[in-house]
Amino acid sequence: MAKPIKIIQKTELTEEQKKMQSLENLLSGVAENKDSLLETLNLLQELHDSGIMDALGSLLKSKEKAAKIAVGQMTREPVTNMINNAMAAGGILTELDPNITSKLAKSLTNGLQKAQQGLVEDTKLGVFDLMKALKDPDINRVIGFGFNLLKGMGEGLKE
Amino acid sequence: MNEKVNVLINGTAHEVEKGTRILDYLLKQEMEHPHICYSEVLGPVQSCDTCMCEVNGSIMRACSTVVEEGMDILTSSELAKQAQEEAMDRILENHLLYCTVCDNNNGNCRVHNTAEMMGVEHQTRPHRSKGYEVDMTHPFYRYDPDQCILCGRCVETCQDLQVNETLTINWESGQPRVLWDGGKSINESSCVSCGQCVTVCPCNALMEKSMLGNAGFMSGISDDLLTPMIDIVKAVEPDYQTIFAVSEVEAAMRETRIEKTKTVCTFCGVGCSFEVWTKDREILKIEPSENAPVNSVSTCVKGKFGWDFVNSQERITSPLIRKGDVFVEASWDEALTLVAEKMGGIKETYGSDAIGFISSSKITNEENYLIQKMARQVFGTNNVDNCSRYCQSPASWGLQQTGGIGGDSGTIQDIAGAGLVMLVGCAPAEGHPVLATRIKRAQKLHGQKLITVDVRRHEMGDRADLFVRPKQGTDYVWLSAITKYMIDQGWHDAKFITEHVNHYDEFLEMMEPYSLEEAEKITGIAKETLIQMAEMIRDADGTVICWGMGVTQNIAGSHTSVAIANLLLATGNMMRPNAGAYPLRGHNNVQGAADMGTMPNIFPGYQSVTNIEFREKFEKAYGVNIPENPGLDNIEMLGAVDKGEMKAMYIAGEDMAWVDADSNHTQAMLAKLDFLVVQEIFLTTTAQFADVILPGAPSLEKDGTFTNTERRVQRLYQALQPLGDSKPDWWILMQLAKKLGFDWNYTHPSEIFDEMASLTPFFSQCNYDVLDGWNSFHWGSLDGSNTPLLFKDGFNFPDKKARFGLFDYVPPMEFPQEFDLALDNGRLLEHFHEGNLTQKSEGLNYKFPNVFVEVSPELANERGVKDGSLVRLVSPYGAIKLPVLVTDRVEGKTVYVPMHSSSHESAVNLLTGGAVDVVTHTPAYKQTKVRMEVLELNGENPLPRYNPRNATRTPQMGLEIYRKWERGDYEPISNINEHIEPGLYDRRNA
Repeated sequence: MAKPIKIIQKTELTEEQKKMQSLENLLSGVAENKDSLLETLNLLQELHDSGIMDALGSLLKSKEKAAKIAVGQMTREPVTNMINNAMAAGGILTELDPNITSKLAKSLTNGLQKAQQGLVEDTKLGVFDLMKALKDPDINRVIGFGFNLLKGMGEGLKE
Repeated sequence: MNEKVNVLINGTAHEVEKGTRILDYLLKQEMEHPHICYSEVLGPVQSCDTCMCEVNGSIMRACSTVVEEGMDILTSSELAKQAQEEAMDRILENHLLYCTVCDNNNGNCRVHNTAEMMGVEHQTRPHRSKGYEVDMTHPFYRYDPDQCILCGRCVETCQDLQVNETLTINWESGQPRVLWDGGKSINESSCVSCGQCVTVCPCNALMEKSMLGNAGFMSGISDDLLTPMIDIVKAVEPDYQTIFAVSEVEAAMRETRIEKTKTVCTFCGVGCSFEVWTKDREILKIEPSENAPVNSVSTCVKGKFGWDFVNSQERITSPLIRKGDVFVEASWDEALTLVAEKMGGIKETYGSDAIGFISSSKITNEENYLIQKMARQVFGTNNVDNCSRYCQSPASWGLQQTGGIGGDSGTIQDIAGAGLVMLVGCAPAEGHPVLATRIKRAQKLHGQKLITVDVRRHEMGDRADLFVRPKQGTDYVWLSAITKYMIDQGWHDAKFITEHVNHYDEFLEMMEPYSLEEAEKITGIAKETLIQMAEMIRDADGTVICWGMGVTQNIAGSHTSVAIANLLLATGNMMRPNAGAYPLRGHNNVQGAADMGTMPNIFPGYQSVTNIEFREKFEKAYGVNIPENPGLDNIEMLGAVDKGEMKAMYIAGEDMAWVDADSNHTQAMLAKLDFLVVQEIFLTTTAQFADVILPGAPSLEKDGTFTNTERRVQRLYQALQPLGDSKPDWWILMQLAKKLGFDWNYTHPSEIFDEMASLTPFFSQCNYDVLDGWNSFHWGSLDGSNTPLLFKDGFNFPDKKARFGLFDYVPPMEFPQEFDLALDNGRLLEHFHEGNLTQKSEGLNYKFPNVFVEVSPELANERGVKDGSLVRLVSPYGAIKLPVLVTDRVEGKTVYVPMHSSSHESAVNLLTGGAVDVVTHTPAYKQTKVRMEVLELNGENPLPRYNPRNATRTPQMGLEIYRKWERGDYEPISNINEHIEPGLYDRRNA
């Protein structure tokens, strides 16, 4: 006559058995990943020696708090302004023709070299020299560029 | 071939089938076009306005505009784009795009995807709160009005697809929102928690609580961190494309850890399929799909929310062996060796037939196949049966006698398409909820007629055009009387009978006594009502009869099933779409269990064991001799135990202790066995009697197939690893066979299916590739082809003709007079069977905590009891005590007890017993009489006030979008705003 049974006797592993089981798992894992583990250990040592580990550890421990502070900082108006500026600047950059930008950058470098030369030579510039310079096609091109730039910006500001 | 019209779409000529809506055509051609509220299932809801096109210069909705000859359609002209953008702007005023920290950011958010596809960069109307609290009252889902875009898909679904009629939108209000019963909390409303509103919500306004804070990498962070983060996003005002880009990276990251696996529901025989979303072992949600062949986006509360049992702490996670007064955990080798030794020994000592197998309607086809193979090949006995013996064997038998196949005539589409549905002794809104939704929808939208015949007035009784309450157990009589009356009136289908049915003359003779007068006397149904029923059948274009345990669990269950088939044959309601016989299978695989031959008299595919040709085929395949006589069924097995002839039983996934009638007797028999093996996932009462318990795995933890009530075979895919040391049931059976010297050596269930199909003509053209993904297969032809509709080429007899069944009425059994109340019993929506699975769900228990006895107001008055009174019900077989619920769902001296209890105090089968069906031995559970003793007058109402049965529905026809257009402040975007009657859409496509 089988009586109904409601009790299940779980095979409880002793603490010692559980530890042994964990250690066995761990050891086989270590053996399988020897090289990467050694490399990681070296890296950890470096991080520890430089004190970075310590800082990271503290930051992790206070991660909720730190995140709240960071987010709190970010909601301040100057910061959101900054983000907006950065994004707006990003927008400008994406609208420029890369060919023109590269031309401009090259000419700027060139100009800087010339300017450096001028500085070294320490030549004095008179009014007459200025008038003469205006006729120099290279300088004339730059001044024309500047005027057109100002005109374009002015139009932009009008919108 | 349908008529075509020629149109220009973006300057290109297209030939489109007449009657097609523009959006349907665009989607079919895979031309990207914005749309949010539209759904293939619901049709044009016309609320989101994002699908605007320029048609002949006017702005029109693509979802509701039908193509016409010569139309010039521009989907992305300046005008169309402007209209679409204006619509999206209005939507985003209602919805904040914090996608990256939103739990709905899983790649399938329609609002997100549409806004991104449209290239929306900014909005002109800023998001503003509607000023309502988030509704968190319901255990399973929440509503956030501030995220709700008022598309009304949820309302349309609740009103016209699920047809529970709870949700509305108050269009006239200053700030419209979705309302439950006109303004109650969700929890206190008539919501039956089917979850379909959540499924169809195109954003995160309606969300499963199991998803909240769980789905995303950042969605789980606390509110005081989340709110400022959302504020940053708002302050920074990035263009939306940047937001979308970031959120998409996050969505892609989610995909690496959220698994989406297609599975098939296990809570009834309808066969809903859907994806289950899991994160490690956690079940995030059930995600239905329009690809699902039976249910599309529909589910019921159990299928959508009832899966907690899978991760229950109470799961058995190791083989268990009885030692003294406890079960001791053992290794698989230990446990299987013991089972093999003991059962092998009993076979040696007492012979093969001293062993019996009971299979399960919850496990897969493959596992059922293996259980009958185990019985026949390994143990050499036909003593194998399954739980269809407790429910649907009479229906299958009745249909086999008349048409040759024991299964539903067609599919759920045929039920939806019928002109008249008759429900006899079944309550699909409780037991087969998704199937019921299709009937409710057809009745509400398409003019389908509904007759409900039941002793208890459940929801389908309330909704019926004609509700009929016969005397218990007399269905045979009124069915026959209607049949005879229709023949007498010449309303039968004489041509159909001549061409397709045998035994007409003998049948007429047998029907002779069943006049309307006689029927009225026996059944209590007025003659006029019987005539009305006959007229409704006469007038219907296709009659479908669905029946359940109210018919089969009677001593005349088999014969009454024949009477149903006879009525359908006489009126020509077979061999055609939208008509026929539909026994509603109660469990996910009750059809499959029988199909796979876990029955004492048949091999898989209903091949009789007494037929020498079939037997030799299986003997050859299995390499053993198989006994030529049928084995014992469930009921006979217990009888053999009592006589000491059956010594050992192997029970898989069936809590027989509570499911068989007369539980006291069943449990005494289980205790009497020399050796009992139970394969289970919980320590059920049946398992408590076991000598060895083998821990099986539930459906989510294995591959396999189930066959639903439509004879439709569908695959389920493994979503989780088996818990602990539990194993898929097919693996357990295979290991045990190996211990006993039969090395089956399957590596995957597909190989088991292939073996079965090679021996079973009905399945010869089916395999796992045919069933891949959302595909399915209906068995029903001997050439093994897919057969959604039975008998198109004739009935399953050698002469292709059906047979009128010549089996006469058996009156219900008599009880001593002291038992003065008729005990009805069965299933209610919130729980499944005896509750072993669904009672592991906190939410389901909250909505429906305990069983009760429903008492009619008259009886309550007579006995002086009220809601919460504690009573004892006593039958000749036992007694239970439980609280009273007074309700007019029952009438007079009928009381009703739900079967959802496995407690020695309240399980209904402590009361049932004795009589069985004359042919199949299915216990006559419904023919029980009891007496009632009052124990305590005052007590708590057993049905919580927040159970939906206490609320009143708010029916209307769909969303009523025209009320939005009538608002003074609505500025139309479309040049035409014409309301489309709900349901017109799918009738057009039917």
